[in-house]
Amino acid sequence: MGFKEKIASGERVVTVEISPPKGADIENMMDLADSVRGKVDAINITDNQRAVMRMSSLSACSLLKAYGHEPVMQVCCRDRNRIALQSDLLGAWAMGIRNVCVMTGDHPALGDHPNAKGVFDLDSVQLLEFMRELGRGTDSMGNPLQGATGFNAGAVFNPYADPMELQVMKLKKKIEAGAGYIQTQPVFSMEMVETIMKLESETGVRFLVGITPLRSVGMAKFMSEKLLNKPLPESIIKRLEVSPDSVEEGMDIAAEFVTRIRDSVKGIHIMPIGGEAGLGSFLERIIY
Amino acid sequence: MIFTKPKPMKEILDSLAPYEKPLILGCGTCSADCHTGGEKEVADMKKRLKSEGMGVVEGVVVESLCNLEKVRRALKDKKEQVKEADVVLVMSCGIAVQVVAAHTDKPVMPGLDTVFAGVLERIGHYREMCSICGQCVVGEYGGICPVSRCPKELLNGPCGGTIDGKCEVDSEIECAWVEIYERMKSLGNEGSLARIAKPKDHLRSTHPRRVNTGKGILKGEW
Repeated sequence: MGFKEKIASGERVVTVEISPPKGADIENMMDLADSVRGKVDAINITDNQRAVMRMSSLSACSLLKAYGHEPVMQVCCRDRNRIALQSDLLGAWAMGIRNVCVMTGDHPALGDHPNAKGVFDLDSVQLLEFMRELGRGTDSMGNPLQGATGFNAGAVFNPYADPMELQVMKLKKKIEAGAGYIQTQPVFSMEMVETIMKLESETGVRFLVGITPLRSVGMAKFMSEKLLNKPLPESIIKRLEVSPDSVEEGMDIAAEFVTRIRDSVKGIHIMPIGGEAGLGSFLERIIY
Repeated sequence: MIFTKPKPMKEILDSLAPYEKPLILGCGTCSADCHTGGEKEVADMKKRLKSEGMGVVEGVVVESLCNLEKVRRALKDKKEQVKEADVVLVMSCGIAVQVVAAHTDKPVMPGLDTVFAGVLERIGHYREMCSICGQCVVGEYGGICPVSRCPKELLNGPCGGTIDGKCEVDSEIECAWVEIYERMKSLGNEGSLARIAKPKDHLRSTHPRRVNTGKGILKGEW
């Protein structure tokens, strides 16, 4: 059963996030994908995440597809206008890519090409609406298409951004515009899982809770200060601090967390954030 | 107003290097309010260029350099000075530089960079308020423009980068969407933000834009 079918039928799903290479050599990316083969339902391929220029998500997804993987093509609104976005989506469908996850995208100022022009012709909600039109066999202007798409469309949710009610308002717009599943930023506390599960029952779409194995106290601090802007549970920091091998400890902490949320959560999204090499090993130790 | 800031002096001197006798034009409207091209700034520039050994013809502040009638009149009044000068340094916005360039056969150089359309909050503090997009949506957002005040011009809500109500691009500035939301709540109308806003029509902001009413003034239908 594929990723889309599992979501539709209420089965558990596991996705992982892999970055395309910064360069033209795909060997590492393909090895990484092979290390999770058979252990996950789909592989998210990021779209120049953090505004750092890499190989395109579209081409990386197409390569993964050709090697028998199930990619989720991430598409952000930063680098392409509505013509290029629709054009790439048509090409993606033709190449067998079936899952798309849309997001606004980090501002160029945060990345490695800070002088680049940010496009932002559409936002994530509008892009989802455009995708729905492509699925109906017309472009966003109502012009007929030679062949419609039928993407399994998803979106993202950051449960840490303030104020929460404003994030929820936008989340609901994404769902109204056609998002059928939601992948979240890394979550480390049961309280946050409960908040997300409340949103799941309220909206009726599947949430894939973000899981990131921490590798050091430094990484925990970075995540807490730069990405989440919330303190991580003290118990996690303590365990990383006292362990002789914080990488192993971090994987254990995350694996235990997955076990704890297993009963309430029907989807997880693993983001290694620099720890890609340990992905295969982490997947072996989680019970989900 | 149109906010301008002074170009680095080296850039100005480099641009004037091939010339000897500049005429300096300031503007009595926005750049005077910005303290970048009013009487004092033009006088200071005159002094500086003289100290660099240039034979400055004159420094003149025109009432408004974006009003063609006034520019024509000023250039006519200063016909002799224009004739004597071998370059015109315009200490005003990009509009003024082009208007002057179109009405003199002398080379024209900008002394300022044109930065944005915004508000003078207090001396030294200016803030962008309008992107001049040609399709005002401010009424739907509680009087706060997401097009000019959100770096991603987001019409349907904030991105995921808001931290403590601040913008991911610059932690010194408020997230426009947090401001919009607070304002709409105080108006008791935050529910209307749940409506999905359609993408903007960029055909309406394709450069160069023109308004031509024929002979009369531009009149509304009220």
